[in-house]
Amino acid sequence: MHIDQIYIQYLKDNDSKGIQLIYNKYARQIVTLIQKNSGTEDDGYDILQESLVDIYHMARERNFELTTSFGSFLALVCKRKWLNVLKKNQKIQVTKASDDLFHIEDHSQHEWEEMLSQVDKENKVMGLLDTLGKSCQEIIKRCLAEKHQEQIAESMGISYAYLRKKKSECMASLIQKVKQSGIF
Amino acid sequence: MENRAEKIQDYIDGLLLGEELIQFEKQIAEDEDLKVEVSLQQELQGIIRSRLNSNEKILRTHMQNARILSQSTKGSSKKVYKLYLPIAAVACLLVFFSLFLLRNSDSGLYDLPTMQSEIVRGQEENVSYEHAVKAFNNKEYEQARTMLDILITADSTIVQYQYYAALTYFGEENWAQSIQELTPLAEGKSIFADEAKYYLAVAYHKTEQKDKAIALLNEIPAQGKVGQKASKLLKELK
Repeated sequence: MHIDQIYIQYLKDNDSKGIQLIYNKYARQIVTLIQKNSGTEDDGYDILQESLVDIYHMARERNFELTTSFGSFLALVCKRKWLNVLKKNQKIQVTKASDDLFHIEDHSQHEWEEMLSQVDKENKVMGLLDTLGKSCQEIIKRCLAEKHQEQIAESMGISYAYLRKKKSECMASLIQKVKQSGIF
Repeated sequence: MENRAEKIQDYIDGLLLGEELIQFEKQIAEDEDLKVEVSLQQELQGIIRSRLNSNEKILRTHMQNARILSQSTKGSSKKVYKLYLPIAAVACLLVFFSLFLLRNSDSGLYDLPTMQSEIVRGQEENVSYEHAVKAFNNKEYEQARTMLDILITADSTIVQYQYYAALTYFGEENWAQSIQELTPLAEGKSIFADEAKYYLAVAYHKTEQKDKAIALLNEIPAQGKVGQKASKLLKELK
């Protein structure tokens, strides 16, 4: 196990001191990297934050072990994320050259790439869930986070049967959005 | 009759039993599309459940704090409020997204919603409610209200009965009564609050109380169908 695995553990444990340490040690490096590639300081901090959240999700439920330094890995994740932002905003032409700019040689990269793609997919699903109406969001979230659906219905002031109807209706709307988005 | 989405949901929730379960599993094995749909729904629910059980919110709070400290340590001249710029950007995107959807939406601004039936597997049919559904959707509002009033008397905690009962006045274009019945629902915290706000706003609009209508429409979040309708109506009123 790489000695820097501790940083992954800080994220997994939601350790505030550890997270501060990550910022103290790596924030400037990432912000500079983004600034050198058409971004601002705020872009840099935003990318750092979203990348750390992705690493957290990546590590939380998967057997993720660092094979390189945390700094290199974090830079890879941030570059990948920033490249996607640039592509989305069409600030750069999507060319092989630009992809090469962000290429890092590492034998574990393919494995990471798969994990990060899965996290991207999950982020998009959560983003689409947020585009549903408030009541649909509440029904889906509560039904998936809580065990007793009869109690959910009662607390929402609706019948259990109505809750089940609405839940399947809301899930159908979400699935439709997911299909339209081409995530899966 | 139960639709495909409901059956899939019941299957995932473990509500299909005995012969029905065997039959549905056989159907899944034979129908590739159904198999894909079930698996997609299971995957989506797994993703959402996992995210809801994560501590992402706390992590984000820790990171915000670390960012503030990190930026102030570096002597950055940027003010802390800049942290909220991304949030504002997301809000703008949502508004843009909702406006884009509105252009493609055909739903009438003044139409009532379809009253949702409650018939689901394993539940005894609520006869009065189903009569109310039929009457409401046939625009027989007085009849629907009579049934709903019986249900409200039997159980006053079910907000869904009160909501549809209030809408029966809307259907009759009895705006004064609509306002009276919808106001407490719009001010409440139930899942019908935003819908109630919307129809209350329409009732205000119909009674020439434009300012009240606009104020209510502004309170409705942009997401979802009601958010889209609210934005569209707001645009019309302005």
